[in-house]
Amino acid sequence: MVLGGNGLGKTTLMQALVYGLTGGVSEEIEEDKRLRWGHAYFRSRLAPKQLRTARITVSYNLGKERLTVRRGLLGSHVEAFRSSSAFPSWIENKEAAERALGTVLRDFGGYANMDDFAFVVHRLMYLPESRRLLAWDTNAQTRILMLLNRDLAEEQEFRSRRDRLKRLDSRKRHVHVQLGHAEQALINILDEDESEDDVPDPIESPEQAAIDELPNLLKELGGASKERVEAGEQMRSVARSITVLANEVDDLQRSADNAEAELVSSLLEGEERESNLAIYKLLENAICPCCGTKQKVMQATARQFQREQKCVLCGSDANEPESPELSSIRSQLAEKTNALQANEEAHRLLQQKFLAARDHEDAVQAQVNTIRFSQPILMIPDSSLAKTTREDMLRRRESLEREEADLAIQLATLQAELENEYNTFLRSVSDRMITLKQAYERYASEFLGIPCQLVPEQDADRLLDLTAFIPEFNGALRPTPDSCSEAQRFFLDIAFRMALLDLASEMGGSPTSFICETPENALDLSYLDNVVKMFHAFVEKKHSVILSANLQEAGLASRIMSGVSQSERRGRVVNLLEIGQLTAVQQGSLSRLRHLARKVTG
Amino acid sequence: MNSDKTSVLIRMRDVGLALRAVAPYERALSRIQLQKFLYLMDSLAGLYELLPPLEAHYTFRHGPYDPFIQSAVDSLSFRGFARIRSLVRRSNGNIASEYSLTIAGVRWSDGMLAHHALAERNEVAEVVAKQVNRIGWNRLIPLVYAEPTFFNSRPEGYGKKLKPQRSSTNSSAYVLQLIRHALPKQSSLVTRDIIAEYYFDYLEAYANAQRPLSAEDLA
Repeated sequence: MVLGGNGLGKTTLMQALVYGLTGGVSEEIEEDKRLRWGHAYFRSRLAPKQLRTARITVSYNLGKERLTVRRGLLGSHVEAFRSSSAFPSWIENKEAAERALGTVLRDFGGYANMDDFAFVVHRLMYLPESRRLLAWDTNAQTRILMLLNRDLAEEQEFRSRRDRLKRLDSRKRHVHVQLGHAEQALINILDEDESEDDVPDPIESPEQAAIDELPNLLKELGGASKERVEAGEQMRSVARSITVLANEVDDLQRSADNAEAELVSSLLEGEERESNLAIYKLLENAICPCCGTKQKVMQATARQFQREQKCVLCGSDANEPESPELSSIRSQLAEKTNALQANEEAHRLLQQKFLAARDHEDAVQAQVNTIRFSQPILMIPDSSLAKTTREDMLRRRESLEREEADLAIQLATLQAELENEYNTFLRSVSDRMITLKQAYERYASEFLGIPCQLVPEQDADRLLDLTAFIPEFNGALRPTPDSCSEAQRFFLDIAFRMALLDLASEMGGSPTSFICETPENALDLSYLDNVVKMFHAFVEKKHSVILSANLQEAGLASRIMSGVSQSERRGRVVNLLEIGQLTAVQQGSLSRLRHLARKVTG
Repeated sequence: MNSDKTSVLIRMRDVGLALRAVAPYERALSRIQLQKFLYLMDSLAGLYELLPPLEAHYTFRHGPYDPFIQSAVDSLSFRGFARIRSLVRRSNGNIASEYSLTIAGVRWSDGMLAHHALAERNEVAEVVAKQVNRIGWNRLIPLVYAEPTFFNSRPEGYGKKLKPQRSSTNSSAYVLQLIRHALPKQSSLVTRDIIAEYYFDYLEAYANAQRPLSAEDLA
């Protein structure tokens, strides 16, 4: 708990902590320029000489590894680094330290690069005063979910393909505008030159013939792509049925095995009796099956085991529960096995269809590429053109039409692939999403005092249908931050982050941390206890919470610290009244402020 | 997962039926031959709408291996249903045991045939014995090594679970399906025996196309 008043350095201290972890917020993790920051943030807080000598050193655990990172304030890079087992001695060369940090983040945290780690810190673990929300930000949610489930998703690859989708879309719109200009220019030329019949028919070269063929090829390419995507989807649907049926067959097979084992066992016992075999002799005549002597005690034990339906020699209790009639299991099993085989055959056929469609698509794409790459890359802007003839403009319009159609196909194919990939990802993490929803429901309901759920909702993105996870309470979905009050949106965002951190902790096997600046600012008095319960529920799972708070009457700080024993409180509070530079106004109220601080520190 | 007791009892059933099926050809089966014979029974079971036990073979040093088969034959021997018919000293100095049914074992296996489910399994054992006898008992091991599921899994090392009944991969079930599709439908001549015969011909042809097995494989 970082405790202080206005201007005493709460935010600076929290920013310093996060700066130590990640070096600030770069464009790789924050699309909004206004929210990016780095070492320059500290310029106005320190004198030039202090800036040169000040260092920020942060130690933290990543799984079982303890990392210590040191950064200066003249640049956001790592100045020195060490970690408990991988790099136990300080590495003070800038490049080597950055490399070592990257290695440890990868080996102990599974992060592909430092940007991924920084994204998780800034968009999930740290809630600054700027209140950058995660709960209604579909893109950030998708990136976080993919990063947390990196065993099932290639987040970086997915994001770079989404960027390509945006570029293709932007290019298509640009071409569409150019096409409009070309059409207008053509109308102007036609108006000037009404003697259309005088224009000689152009002689078509082989290159031109190939270019003319392009629209048909693009149409064919679109058809082949659609066919491939459909076959892929059908294949996955059949694969899901196969999994379900295979599990059912396994269950039935288990029952059939048990029933047949019971039958075999009873036949063996019957025959042992009939043929007067060794086991039977033990049970009836007390003859040891090994040495052949009379052993009454052994016989009594064997009989006791027999009565208890155990093995007469070792007494192992392995009888299965009574199974239903074998013939009934057999007929069900035959039915399911036939269905399974039919599905497996359908899957094979669909696989062939998928491969054929893919080969066809590749072949047509190769033809399209050959034609496309044979055209000049350089495009002269309209304004630079010399006086354009009608033929020039006709060719230009055709060329733009072809390009637009080509881009439309590429766009549709990439969209279908990305949607498919995303839906497959969501299906594969469905079990984990249940855990996430349960944790969210607990935290959010704790805060609101009424049931609140996390509901998947299709996000209305123009280019790609992603799923946003949004709150629902009082029977209404809350699709935007504006559909909640200020306090609701802020604390529902915290609930969402805590649920994600729970999930991450469950998957990684170690507790996590949540860093939040002055959470009480948005809160009215009646919700204070609910918020305290929410934070307490989070730390009960061994997670850490780092909070900053103002010294206020009936503030959040003292209530939250009530969960910490008196003896431990001092060690858990950074009291800025003791180390900060107090203003004259604060000096005037010092005894009152100290009284409030004591309520927190105990 | 079945309990060990169930797994051993299920393999006692299969061992009993296998030893019964090879008896008319005056054959007894060694430990390794039993493993191979039962693997072929499992591979062919799908043709008779039967499935191998839930816990069955894994890839191992000398081909597919199911530890419950050895436990089953040991238990049958101890209880007096199977006998070690002869002891053969191999060229490598090891002693090989060969198993056959005792009179009580024969009566017990007769008893099993009175039950429909077990009688169908007996049909599988008899077809395997008939086909191996036709091709040659010395071809038992090469036939198993040519079985597609094992053939595919062998390079992946020991301990890989073998499921020859799953037709979604290259397996016996797949080959049997192909044979069934290739034969004229609705013909009364297309019996399970015919399909089994083609299947064994396929295995034999495939085995012949491969490099000869090493002495260790054939041990």
